[in-house]
Amino acid sequence: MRSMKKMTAVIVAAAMAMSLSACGGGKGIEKAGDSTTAAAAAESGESSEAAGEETTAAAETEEADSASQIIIGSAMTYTSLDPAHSYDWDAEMVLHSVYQSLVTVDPADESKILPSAAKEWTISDDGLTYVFTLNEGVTFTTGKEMKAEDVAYCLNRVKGVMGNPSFLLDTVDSVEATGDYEVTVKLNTVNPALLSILTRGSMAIYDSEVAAANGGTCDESDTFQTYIDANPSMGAGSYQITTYTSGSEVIMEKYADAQKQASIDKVIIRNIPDASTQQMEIEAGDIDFALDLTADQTALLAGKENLQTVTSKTFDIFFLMLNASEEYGKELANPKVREALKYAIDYEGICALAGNGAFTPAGIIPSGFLGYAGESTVTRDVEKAKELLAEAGYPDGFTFDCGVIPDMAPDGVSFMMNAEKIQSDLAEAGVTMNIDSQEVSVYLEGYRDGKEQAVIGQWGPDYYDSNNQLAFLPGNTVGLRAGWTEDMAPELAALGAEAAQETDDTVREQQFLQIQEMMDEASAPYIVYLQAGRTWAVNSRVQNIVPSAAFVLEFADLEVAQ
Amino acid sequence: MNMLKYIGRRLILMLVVMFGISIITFCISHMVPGDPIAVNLGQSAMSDPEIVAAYEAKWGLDQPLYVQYFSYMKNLFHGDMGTSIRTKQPVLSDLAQYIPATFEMATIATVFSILFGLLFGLISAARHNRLPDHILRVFSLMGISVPAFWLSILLLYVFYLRLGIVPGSGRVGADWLGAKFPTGFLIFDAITYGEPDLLKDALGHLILPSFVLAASTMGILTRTVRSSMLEVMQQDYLRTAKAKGLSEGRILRCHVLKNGLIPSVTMFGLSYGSLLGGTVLVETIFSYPGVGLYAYKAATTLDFPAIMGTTLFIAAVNVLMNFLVDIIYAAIDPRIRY
Repeated sequence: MRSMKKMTAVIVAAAMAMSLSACGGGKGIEKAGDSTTAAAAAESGESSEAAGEETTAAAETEEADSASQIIIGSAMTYTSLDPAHSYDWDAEMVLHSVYQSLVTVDPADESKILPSAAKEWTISDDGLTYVFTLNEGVTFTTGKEMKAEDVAYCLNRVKGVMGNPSFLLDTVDSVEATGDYEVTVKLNTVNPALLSILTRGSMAIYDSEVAAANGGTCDESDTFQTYIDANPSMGAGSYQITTYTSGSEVIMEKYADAQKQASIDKVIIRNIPDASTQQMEIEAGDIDFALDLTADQTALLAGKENLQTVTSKTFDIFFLMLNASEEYGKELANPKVREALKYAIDYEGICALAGNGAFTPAGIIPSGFLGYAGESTVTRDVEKAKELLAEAGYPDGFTFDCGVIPDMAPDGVSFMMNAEKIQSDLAEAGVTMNIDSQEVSVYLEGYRDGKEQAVIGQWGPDYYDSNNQLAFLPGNTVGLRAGWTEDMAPELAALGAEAAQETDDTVREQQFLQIQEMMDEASAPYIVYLQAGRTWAVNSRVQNIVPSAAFVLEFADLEVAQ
Repeated sequence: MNMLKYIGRRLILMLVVMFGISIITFCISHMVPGDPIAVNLGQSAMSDPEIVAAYEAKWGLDQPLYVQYFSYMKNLFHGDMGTSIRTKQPVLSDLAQYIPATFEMATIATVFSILFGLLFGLISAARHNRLPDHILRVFSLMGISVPAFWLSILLLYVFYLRLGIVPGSGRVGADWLGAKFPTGFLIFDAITYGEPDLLKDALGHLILPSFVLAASTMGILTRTVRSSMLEVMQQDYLRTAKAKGLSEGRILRCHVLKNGLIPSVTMFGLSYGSLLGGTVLVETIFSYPGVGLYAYKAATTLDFPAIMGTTLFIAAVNVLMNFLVDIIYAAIDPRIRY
């Protein structure tokens, strides 16, 4: 008993000592918004001084109690919010709100390029030189005025760090500040998609002095990512990131000096990986947006008091890749077989499973892009599929393996559910599709190397221009994954190369339509079965919701009913 | 003196074990199929040879396996666990961010397991083959067999959404989101800095996930404690105690519990390690930013430095707990001498 008392005394003493040391040396608990100045500026010389005095998010001037805020529940896929490295679809909504790019897109029509940091631009006759004129008087949250040198630094950094988005600027030869407010971008080859590429969150512009002072370089030795993810953002968008905890939350506060003023003071994005948990949280009113619900879940929430559902379009297409090479595709290498499978699939059924906003496009160009060929007119015809299979020499059907990532459900569309539906559809035509569940790393390795016989795949465009879809053509990125080499369809490959450099939109549109027709005739090794929509459950108090296929959600437009 | 020698020997062996674990983990994580480049680069970037080459060079993936291992170990001895391929942050700072959350959850879960496991085991043994024993058997078997994800969703639905008596998912409520906590251990910080609201909030968020995490261990402990108690109850000295006229409570407290608990100590120790490592599903459903979810993401993205970091951390806890259990054994069981 005595030893027990001794031990208790020791534990209590230790706890007291820890408490005292924490009280004495530590700073104590700091609530979000307690320190609002951009710490980023602390090491950046002049701009840091300005930051302390002039720059802030709105919470500095508003009483916390009266500040409006919304909470967004999202299954975060991003692990960094450094523009030069971030490349996840859901990071776009944060980057778009926090930074300006040279240009942006109209959320109602993403093919329309709108001014943002640049008020105007010119393109040389040969299509190789772009000159952008910046707005004057735009300041970053650090207090520094945005100048051409910042734009040049940020774009050169994207290109130089060899991160995920670096390839987007492969056609860019140089980016230079040719005046205080003039930026000249020179290309090594004509790229009609350049403006669209420059709207991406990766092309964000921030205070280059802060970056350079904290490990930022425009080559592979760059270490600024570690800094930027741990400190308040330094952009000129409507919001400023004040706290980012990877895999947990992002807190953004209104930037008082932004060009486009936000209505809501604070936006919090909470990582809620599980869709069922998101559903319960939105029902309980603890979050205002549930972004990752499945079609079934949103249907259950429809009509509930205090909730609304919002459907947004996406440019994401889902497809069944059928390998065209003899070695890996085997039976699928036969174009007649691929045509047969196309008629065996129940497209309406798949779209119904995928939920609101889903439909089947006629080709690889999604709705909203130049050259979109409309909705598919192919309907299920099992008898025709059987006839085609007999013509191909498989009257009794055959068996093939299809790689699937079981827990992947982009836009709430489950790969596995798609695979099971297609499996049952094909079975009626006598074809057995073995579902080969794979870990994502295994799946991607086999898919990238073109060694999978078939896969359930999804393609979200890297930028919002039809040029990006040319990856599906023979000899290009996705084409090679499907074993479709240039020599298998040289005319198609040549037309694709021509379209990639065409600058006249009228001509481009015709080229893209022709490409899709030719792909259809050649029984291209993909069956595009779905263009997904996104449906969110949103608290009714949130108004003026402007969804976008490009940057998901425009936070600055959101309003909250009092 | 013997004890000191024993402790010294065990400490050296612990280092050997950790070294072995580091080799095995390193080899397994590099031998499993899959390519970290494919999973960490975007679809277009992974087809760009220049980006792929830069990526391999940056993360040392272009080096032979043994060079990568020796480089890792060299850095580890200098206190550097490398940089996570996925988060691009030092693994040490990632772990420092996630460990406090998991530590709190696992500790509360252990407290639940021990308290209820002991209590239920004791009641079952004392009311052997009677109604309380039957009821507790059902509960303990349910705790062992019900999947954690299902129990998590069920409890959230009932106690959060329908009854509204516990907060929802996450580690803290909206008021505390983004707050900077000095140690990251919220309960400790709340007590230290006199924040009763934070304490209430943090404990509220811990109840359900800790209970789910504890359910399985609680069931196993109930069964283990019951068996060992029943074994002790068959001993001659218990009959002697009864013959002496001691009360049932005193017999249970002073003779049954004291002797019957010895085999359960191993269970207590080992369960803590498994609680630390087995939090993936619970952390996912309760949106709890802990080590389990971090380890899972590291494994699925072949983030080698993070895989090594989390494995070594969990292994170290397990090795340490085993060591402590052995020491405690010697302290509480006079028959064991080292």
